[in-house]
Amino acid sequence: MTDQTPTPAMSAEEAAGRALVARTSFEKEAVWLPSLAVQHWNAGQTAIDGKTFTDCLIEGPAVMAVMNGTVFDSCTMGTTSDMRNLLYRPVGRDRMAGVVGVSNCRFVRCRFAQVGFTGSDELLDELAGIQTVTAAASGSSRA
Amino acid sequence: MTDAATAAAGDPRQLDPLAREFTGGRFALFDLYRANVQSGGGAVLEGRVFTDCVIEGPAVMLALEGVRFEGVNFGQTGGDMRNMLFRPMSGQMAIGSIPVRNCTFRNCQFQTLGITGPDELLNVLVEQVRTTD
Repeated sequence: MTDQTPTPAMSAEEAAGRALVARTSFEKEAVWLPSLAVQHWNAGQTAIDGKTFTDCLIEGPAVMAVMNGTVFDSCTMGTTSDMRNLLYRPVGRDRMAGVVGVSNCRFVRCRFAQVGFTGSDELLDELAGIQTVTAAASGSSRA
Repeated sequence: MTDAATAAAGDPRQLDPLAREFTGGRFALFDLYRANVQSGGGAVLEGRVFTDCVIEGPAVMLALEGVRFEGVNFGQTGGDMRNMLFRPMSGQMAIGSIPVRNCTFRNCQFQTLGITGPDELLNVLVEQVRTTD
């Protein structure tokens, strides 16, 4: 006799979430970062990994933990004249609660709205060195 | 390493984002904040009392003046409160966090939330809050 325990059907909302998580590229669309993070968590993924965002609006409110392999290419990081207004230094060194982890992602010509950034001291120092929004838009940075 | 949760965010359609008191609800802070802004409540969550609520992230709360934490479970911190705290690199603005002013959190459970604010607040939290997980 075989075990035929029924598998609960996935809801349409959950199926849409899983489809979103499976995508590796986003182009010319608005992405609500906290919602995208929750979809990844619900799929068992602790970080958004290995995706390319091109000409997207990345919306918060959210603080992104910029992890290894993440690249910003010609992005507008936020509406501020001082990059430090977007940056947070973690007080702890072991974990970071409350942030959206992003690894091995490429952001090309994206615009960030209400998104802050945190990460290693080296990353923060690099990002803090960007002088203005204009400079951020014309430069690139690798985490 | 980030701190992830498995629970889905609460349904914002069930929230009155302009309510002054929230009791026993389960919701994502970013949902409440966005709904508050869209309902004309402004860019700061102000003058609210949250009692027995489960408040989910991902979000970093900017605790401004008049914020009280009473009997709050701050969530998984790896046993170190500092793991949920962030220091703004600018003393002027903290873009990306969710500003909260004159709010009381009573017997609430935080899940995947971080906190930022003035150094004085962060120091008090590190010194006075003991976490177990």
